[in-house]
Amino acid sequence: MHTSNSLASQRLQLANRHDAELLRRARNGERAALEILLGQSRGKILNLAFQILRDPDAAEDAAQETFVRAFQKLPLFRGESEFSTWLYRLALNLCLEKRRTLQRREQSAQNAPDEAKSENFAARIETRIALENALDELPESLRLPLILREWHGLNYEEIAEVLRIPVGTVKSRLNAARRQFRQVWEAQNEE
Amino acid sequence: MKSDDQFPPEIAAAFRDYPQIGASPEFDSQIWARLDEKSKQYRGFRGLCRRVWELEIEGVAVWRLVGSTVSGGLFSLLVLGLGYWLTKPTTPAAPLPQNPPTMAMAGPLYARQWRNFQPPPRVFVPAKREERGEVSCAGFSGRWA
Repeated sequence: MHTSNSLASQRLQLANRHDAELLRRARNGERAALEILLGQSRGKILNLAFQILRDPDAAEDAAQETFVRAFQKLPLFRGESEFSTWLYRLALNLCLEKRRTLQRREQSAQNAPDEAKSENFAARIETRIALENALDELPESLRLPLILREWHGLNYEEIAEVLRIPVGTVKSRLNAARRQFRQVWEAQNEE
Repeated sequence: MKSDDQFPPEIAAAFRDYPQIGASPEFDSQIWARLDEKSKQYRGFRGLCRRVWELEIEGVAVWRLVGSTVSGGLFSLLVLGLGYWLTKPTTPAAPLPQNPPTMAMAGPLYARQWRNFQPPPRVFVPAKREERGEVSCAGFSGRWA
């Protein structure tokens, strides 16, 4: 009880500190600083994982793994970008790795009957399926900037930092992504 | 003409209405359990070594580095071997003196060998007076033999 109270008071003290100070303390293994740093992005990272993996359990696992990796690689973070942008990049790389593994597993289990899967599909809203299908039609290079822009509200510079591509490329990819997405969306609606 | 900068309202709404998931009740405790486990692994000297390995060595594709070092070494050995084979002497090298009598003989023998292999000294042979067309200013005329 005493420990949780002291942790809470530490958290309060640290909450108003600058990111650099929080980072310094987190690097030294201060749990309260780490909690604040990671807690600020918890929901965003979890949802990013869900939007890429489309599976809540896998998304939780990926988000947790992202935070562990962030802790592991914290000494390498030099503050050249925002901490949240760095965290997005870690999460994105991890989710893409996991997605490839999941896709391989899905392909090998495709012939097996799966009632839970069909129930899950039935429960989905039509719009959501249409949206997911349209996103699936896009190549990864177009899908990722679109997800970061539309769902996470990142600006061009932030997307460029997360994906490590030039800002001009982000703009052109976003335009191409919207154009292709709209074509697929309209084709689905016509059916 | 439609702008590519933003989606039409129905697509924007579909993105907006896409469900957001919340963390499960065990989410935080699971994260901290994993983080605690990780920080335990980093304790002590072994932990430090592990962290250095994970951060510094894993990140630079260590196997690629080892592969290039080994292949570079093999290539150098190949070049050295080829060079040795090409420059290998056809006559056997003279044996080194092994015992006191041969060591005593070695000095005079090497000296004789040295003398025998020296080119003969070049001697300036002055030309005979009648061979000279005219007397040079310095009075020298002749050839090196």
